[in-house]
Amino acid sequence: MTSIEHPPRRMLRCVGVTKQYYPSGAGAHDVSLEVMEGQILALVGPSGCGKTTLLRAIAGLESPDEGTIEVDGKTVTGRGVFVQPEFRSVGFVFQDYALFPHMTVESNIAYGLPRNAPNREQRIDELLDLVNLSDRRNRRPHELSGGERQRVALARALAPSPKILLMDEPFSNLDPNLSARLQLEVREILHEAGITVVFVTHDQEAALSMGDVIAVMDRGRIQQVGVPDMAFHRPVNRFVAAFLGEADFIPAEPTAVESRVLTELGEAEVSGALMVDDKADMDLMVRPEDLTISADDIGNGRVVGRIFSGAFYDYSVELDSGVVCRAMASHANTIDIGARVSLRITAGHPLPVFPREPTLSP
Amino acid sequence: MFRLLIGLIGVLLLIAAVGCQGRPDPTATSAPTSVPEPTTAPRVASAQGPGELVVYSGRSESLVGPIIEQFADATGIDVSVKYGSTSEIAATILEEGANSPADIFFAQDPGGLAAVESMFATLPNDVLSHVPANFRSPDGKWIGLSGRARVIVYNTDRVSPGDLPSDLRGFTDPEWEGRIGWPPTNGSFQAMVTAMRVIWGETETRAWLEGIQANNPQTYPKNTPTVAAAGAGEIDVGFVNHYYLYRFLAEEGEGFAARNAHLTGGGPGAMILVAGAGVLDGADNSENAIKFIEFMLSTVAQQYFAGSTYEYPLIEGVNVNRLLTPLADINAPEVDMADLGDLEGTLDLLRDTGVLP
Amino acid sequence: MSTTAVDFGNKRVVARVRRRPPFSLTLAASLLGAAVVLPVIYLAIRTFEAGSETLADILFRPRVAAIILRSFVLVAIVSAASAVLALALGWLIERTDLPFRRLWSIVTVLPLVIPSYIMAFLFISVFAPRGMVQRIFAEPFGIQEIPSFYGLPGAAIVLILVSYPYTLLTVRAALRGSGRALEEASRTLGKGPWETFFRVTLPQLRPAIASGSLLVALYTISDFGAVSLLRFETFTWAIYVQYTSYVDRTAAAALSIVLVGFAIVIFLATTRVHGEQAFEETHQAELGGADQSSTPLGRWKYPALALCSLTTFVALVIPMAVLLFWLIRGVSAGEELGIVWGAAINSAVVSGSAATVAVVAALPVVVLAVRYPGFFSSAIDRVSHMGFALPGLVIALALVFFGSRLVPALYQTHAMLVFAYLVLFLPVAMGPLRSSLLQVNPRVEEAGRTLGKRPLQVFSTITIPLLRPGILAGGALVFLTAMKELPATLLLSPLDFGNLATRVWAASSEAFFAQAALPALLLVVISAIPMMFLIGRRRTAQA
Repeated sequence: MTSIEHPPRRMLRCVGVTKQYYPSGAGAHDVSLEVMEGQILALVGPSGCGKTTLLRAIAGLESPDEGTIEVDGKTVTGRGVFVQPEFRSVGFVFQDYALFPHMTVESNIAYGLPRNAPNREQRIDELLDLVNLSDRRNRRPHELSGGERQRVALARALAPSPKILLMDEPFSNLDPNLSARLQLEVREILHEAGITVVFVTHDQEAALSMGDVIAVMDRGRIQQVGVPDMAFHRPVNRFVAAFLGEADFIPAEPTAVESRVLTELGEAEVSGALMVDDKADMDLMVRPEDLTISADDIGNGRVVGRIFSGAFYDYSVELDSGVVCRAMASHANTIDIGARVSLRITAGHPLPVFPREPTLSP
Repeated sequence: MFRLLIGLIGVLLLIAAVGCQGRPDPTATSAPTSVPEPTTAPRVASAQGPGELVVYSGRSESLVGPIIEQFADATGIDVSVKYGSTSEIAATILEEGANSPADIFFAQDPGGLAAVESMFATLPNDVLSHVPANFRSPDGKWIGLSGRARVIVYNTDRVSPGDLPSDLRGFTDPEWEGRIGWPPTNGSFQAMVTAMRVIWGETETRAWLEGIQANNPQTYPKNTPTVAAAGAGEIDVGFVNHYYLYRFLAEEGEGFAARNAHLTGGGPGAMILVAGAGVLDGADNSENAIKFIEFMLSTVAQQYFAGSTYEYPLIEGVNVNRLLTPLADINAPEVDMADLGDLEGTLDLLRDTGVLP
Repeated sequence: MSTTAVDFGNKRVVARVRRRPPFSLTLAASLLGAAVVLPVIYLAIRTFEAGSETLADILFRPRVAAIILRSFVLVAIVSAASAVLALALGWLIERTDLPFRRLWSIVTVLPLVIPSYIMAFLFISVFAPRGMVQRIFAEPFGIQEIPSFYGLPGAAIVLILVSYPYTLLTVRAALRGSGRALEEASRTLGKGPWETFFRVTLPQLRPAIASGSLLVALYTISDFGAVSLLRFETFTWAIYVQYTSYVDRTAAAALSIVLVGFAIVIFLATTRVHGEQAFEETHQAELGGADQSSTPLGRWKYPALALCSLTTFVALVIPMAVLLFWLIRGVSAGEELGIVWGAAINSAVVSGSAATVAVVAALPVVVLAVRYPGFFSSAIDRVSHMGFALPGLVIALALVFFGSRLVPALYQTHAMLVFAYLVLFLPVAMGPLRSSLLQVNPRVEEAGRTLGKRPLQVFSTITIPLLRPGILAGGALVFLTAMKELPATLLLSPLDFGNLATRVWAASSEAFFAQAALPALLLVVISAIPMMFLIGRRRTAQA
């Protein structure tokens, strides 16, 4: 791990970046964010939310309609400036890797290194070593597995020592097991290289596990920026809450105590102040792991679905009010579908509440 | 199978190599050396040397290449030639206008020469006097260099010379329905129609064209395929120039089933036409161009035309090829070249009667 | 190596209108556009020096309408039949276990190099009502005459045989570039091989068929040799008749202008098909395995072999056999043939230069059209096709007109001749290049940019190597087409220049058949060499 002694440098700054496509209206709207040196920023959101557009704008592959982009304190886009991609010192790992099919692994990696660069050979060896592909150096891209291609793309982008590395859905073309393993590997590699990274994904698990900071985007706008566990546990809105993990929303009422609310599942502690105007219409967000389920002939609900996910059972419970929410439980107690159960909040930490959205009620 | 193909190609190359041991060829001898650098050297005739000459030839290299080479050898003049069909070369000269590099235009038929007549210089009288007046332009703009006779080429299996009518008018008879072939886009053919208009008059010519049309003639683009069709028996008779037949006889032997007939009754169908040349006005090498014409009218060259291209010599004292009917035995009409100038009128008539589009 | 590209599936990335094209690209394409538009300017000059009355008189001659209709029918038949033949041969060669595939892949392309007038003349001598075939069958069967094939049938057959390779080459490239995944998917969805072919393979090949058919159609309308000998009066025939009539350059120009309009209609009709700009992104998938497998023909092997053999026999073996017969007859009769090596070298040098120049020149036009679609780029794209649509004589005379006036120093030089070939054959190079470029993933070029390379560096180190199949195919097509070109070669070449095409013409037009046969055979043989080179590359890549 790198330790930063001097105050962290701001390596990337986007202010009000807007790029709209016609006629679809897709693109990025007024996006502002910052990334500090050595940080990995995970830009996460559903398909078509504008995250790739933003990434391409940072690389100089798109020119935004509005806004400024600074890399390491220098303006590269905006204020009448547009620096061509090759002069930005920004590396890019493409979703489909975009390896040069007519070159070997070694030539792919060497491509971005100046011909007369000192220690060129050494640098190539280093990178091959870094991505653990030394024995594949003379292969062509079509002779590699998906994971190997991914690592070549990474090494190629790292070769010129860019100030920022941009990665567009780097794991989406891989199978889930490989993807999970590579995420760890890549995170290691990136931290070892001490490089600043913005990576885009639609997979919230990858974002949470890889990002030092995550930024959640929806419909072209940044919804929330923060460290992963904050974003996960304290989402600023329902979209973020639901996007980052399984979440159910249960009607809640205020209690006498300012920081507690009452729900069908009992009382719960609420995170922060209640930022809800009309306290009569609010929902409490619960995640399956925040709930404890137990068979109970009386209970407060009925099991309507059960999914076996290896380590846990994932139950769907229809509460007596008609609200359905999910709960996780270990194998120890297997409850049949149709059985009455008792569901309780056992989060052990405060939970967020949101104003009720009329459109969401069925 | 792949090797078989390579082997086949090898055999063909070998044949090509063996085939090459014939006479040297003007194209090839000059071509390889001219490949790398363009011929942009300024064409300035030096005062001492024999100088240069640029010939635009509407006559095929196969026919006139050897005699042009003889001219170059004999005079030492550096002769450059551009070959093409007469009509294409005529169009080229017209497009080039005053910028034309050509000194002389050697054409296949009088129509081609007439088309660029306005760009020719008048030839000196002593040159013109080499040939009879009916074989040169009335204004002295161009001169005939060799003669060819209009003939009927007939298939020997299907027609005997005795069955042929005595003049062209006979072919409008319904008995010739489906048996005639002609090349109406050909310059010599059009010259013949112009002669018809002069000799027969407009009305009769139109009637004749309509009469032939009524007999459903086969239309060919040129003389060569017309003669080939007559030999194959695809048509019984064709209206062509005489000398193509001898090429077929040379290639295919005596078995080629077609022969020429000169119409006994004379008229336009038995007329003598010329291939000729004119010197471009303002040509850089007009003196050499005149030398070229004089050489082509020399005994040597006229002997060549008679012997090698089966044409009629235009000067006295040169023998006609023994395969040909002597000019004296042909009942050729007296046609003044001055009257053959109205090509436009002929084309209008051919279009009117639907022979041409 | 990308010639062997096989993939798991095509991804369609919708093209976006991106940054404006680099100035140098626009400039290069514009210069080229200006060059190829010269003939049209010439035609306009020639046409409008006549009054509008004369013009109306020319265009409304009674036979003009009939000639337009005939040309249209011929173009439709030749393009459609060529497409069917090319599709069948292309699929057999690229997708099945047809025996001798490598041989077929070379010999089925070679008819392209036979000049149409030679093919027509040979066909007449063999298949005319009283040609060789009739003579062979006359004795045993007493056949007096076989049915005439003059007119539409003969012209169509000969033009199909000399032009179907245009479609065949583009279809084969497309088959090679697109994977079998979609076809396999279709089979697993319960569709039989025929339904799969018509509902999956064929739609995928539509852009390739369209660009090949465009070349076939333009070649057909601009052909004079075959239609004149086989007596089918088309538009180009009418134009030539005006020129052979000496006096009527205006009429020829006016008719040519109509032909330009005709060509634009054909162009629009065929480009509608690939109007939807989409990048067919080819993934470089693993070699070996199921993707390399080819459809077993089973008992269909024999009909398939029969089709290949028949096509080759009719389009190549018969013409070559007749030429050999002429040659042997001439040699045995003691005819002197003359050296043709110089002519062969000239042919190879000018056609090779033409291929190089045409490919280099086509690159900016194609890049502009594919990567920066828009009004300007499609206008240049369209204009570039004019040269191929007009009769060679018209183009040649246009360049005579401008060349002798504007650049007398270059007039009648090799440079001028190669420039003429460029104007004539630019679209021939553009077709395969376009298909190739559509298969290059634009992300790969962007990757080059983000790795610190200038656009031109990216173009030369990434795009060009990936375009190699298209560059080779486009160059080969231009080479083959230029080998047989006649009118421009005659009129614009340096003085004393002779090549195989001019020698074949000079000899055959005066019935020197043996002398014509040798250069004609050499034309085919020399043309086979680049074809074998292309095929050879494919073989090593597969090994």
